[in-house]
Amino acid sequence: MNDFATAKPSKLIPVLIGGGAITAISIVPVLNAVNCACCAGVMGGAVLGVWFYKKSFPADMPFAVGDGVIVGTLSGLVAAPLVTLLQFLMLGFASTDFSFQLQDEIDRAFSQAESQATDPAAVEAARELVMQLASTPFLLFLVGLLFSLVIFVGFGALGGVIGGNIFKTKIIAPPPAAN
Amino acid sequence: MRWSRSGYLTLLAAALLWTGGFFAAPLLHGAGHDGVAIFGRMFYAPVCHQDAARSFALFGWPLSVCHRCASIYIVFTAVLLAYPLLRRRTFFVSLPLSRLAIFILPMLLDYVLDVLGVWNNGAISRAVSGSIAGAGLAVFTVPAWMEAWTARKRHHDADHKEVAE
Repeated sequence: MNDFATAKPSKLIPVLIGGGAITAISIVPVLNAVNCACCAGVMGGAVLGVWFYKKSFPADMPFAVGDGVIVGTLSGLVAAPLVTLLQFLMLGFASTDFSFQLQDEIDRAFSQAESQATDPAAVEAARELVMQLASTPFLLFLVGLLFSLVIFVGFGALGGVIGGNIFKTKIIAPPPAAN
Repeated sequence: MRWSRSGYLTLLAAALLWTGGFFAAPLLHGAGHDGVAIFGRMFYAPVCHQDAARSFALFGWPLSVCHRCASIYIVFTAVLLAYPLLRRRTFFVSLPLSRLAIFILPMLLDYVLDVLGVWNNGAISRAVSGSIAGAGLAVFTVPAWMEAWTARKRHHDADHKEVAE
């Protein structure tokens, strides 16, 4: 085994911090609008996790971009099920009138789509599809989880690349030897 | 500049899938598969406001993401496609964060000044500022991705060598 790999600090806390930050940004109303800018909230949360991970490194241990990518990806992986679950709870999944509330949410979303002069036939087709999904909450949860996993893991990894590139240990080339 | 064919192809495949994905919805609508098209749009809902009035249209149907997002992703993918030709250029050395901010600034100004009522942004300003941001993000992240990928391969090869010994 590589000594460097085994000696590296634990990723658990930074990943939980990154995942928690992504979850908070994605769940809190108004704040979650940040994700409308190419998932900036997800990338920001991943960068935060990478920053915490970098802080746990001893001064003499080099921090590489790859360390950032791993922390960012894992942060997204932690956040995806949390966000999906919390969104379901916020929709009233746990309450007895879940289907009523969900119907209300869907109606509101589709009224908005109709007001934007989208083709009525397409809106109706979509409504049917969503209502089919909504009739089986578990299936709806699985679809939501699948979407979240792809998006959060992908943008988490991208945030990890960005964070890793910001916080990586810069190797300064030695000055050329004088002749 | 570090280079890994497998690392490049992995990133390129992801970028092409993502970018192709938001072009799929209008094509599917055109082919009469409205249900699948809307399902595809739902996939992009968490990453974009998807306002039809602020989105490019294809065959009369809006793309799954807005002007700004589409420009970021398209230019990012275009720079990535050109990366094998450009990677030896001096500017393609991983961009410092301060310079990345310069690439993002036009997009931020376009948004903030519009919110403040100082400037009315339009499709062109959103597309141009988004394209600049997409180019900056690609120049910032692609070399870093290559660095991470090649380091991972070096560690992997070193581990295998130790096991063989």
